[in-house]
Amino acid sequence: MAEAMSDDTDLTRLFAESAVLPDDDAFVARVAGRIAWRKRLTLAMPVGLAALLLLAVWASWPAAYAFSVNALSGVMLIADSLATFFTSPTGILAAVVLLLTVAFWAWLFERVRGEQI
Amino acid sequence: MVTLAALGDDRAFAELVRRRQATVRGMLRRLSGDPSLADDLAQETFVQAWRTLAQLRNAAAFGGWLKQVAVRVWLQHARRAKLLLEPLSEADESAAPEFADRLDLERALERLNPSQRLCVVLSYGEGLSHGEIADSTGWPLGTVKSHVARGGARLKQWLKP
Repeated sequence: MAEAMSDDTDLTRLFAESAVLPDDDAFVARVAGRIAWRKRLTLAMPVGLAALLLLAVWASWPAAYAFSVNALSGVMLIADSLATFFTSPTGILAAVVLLLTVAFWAWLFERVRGEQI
Repeated sequence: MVTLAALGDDRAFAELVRRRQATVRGMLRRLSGDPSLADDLAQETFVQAWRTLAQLRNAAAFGGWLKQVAVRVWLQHARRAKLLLEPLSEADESAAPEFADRLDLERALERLNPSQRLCVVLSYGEGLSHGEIADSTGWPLGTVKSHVARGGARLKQWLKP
């Protein structure tokens, strides 16, 4: 046991006594350079992605244009349908019921909250 | 210094690199046996440390934490190079190497199986406990103990004057 422990101590001592590397300023500079490169990459990535997106839109312009027009047409169609509904007698009635429901809910909510306080 | 570096102070981090470089480079040289590769891995260690420094809760534990980062970088490299998947055969392991001088620690380490070399360097060279080595490597405690015992025994046999 004592011999084993002595062996272990010898090995630890051997490691401790093996050559210690000197400080190397060039190594510090290389690490700083790699970190600077990473930083530049992090900053450049969103710009690069935006540029790629613009390039993709430009490259597929006819299809992108048709898609945009169709999407906008769809939105305008929905808005138009909603406007038509709410200007009809049924729509006006529905809007009044909806407003009254919201007002009642708000009044009830305030009352409950007041009781809690 | 560690707190300043964690807050993004580049000069503080550069000072940490200056102070810790010898330890990290020395450890990785013992693990790889190749000064050029070791320096490359040491640079990667400091870059990874820079990226994840904000996660370090206790600034006083920076030294041990940095060693863990270095071990992770070494294991990533070893897996890429399939080092740990190629253990020496029993015959190779038991053969006594022919050293010009029988006290060449670096050359003796090179003869060890990479897994044993990692455990021996961390245990005898860096003073880590078996539990800490198991935490750093992700290996079971029994495996670590076995690697330290077998690797240490071989080194003692080879380095005996």
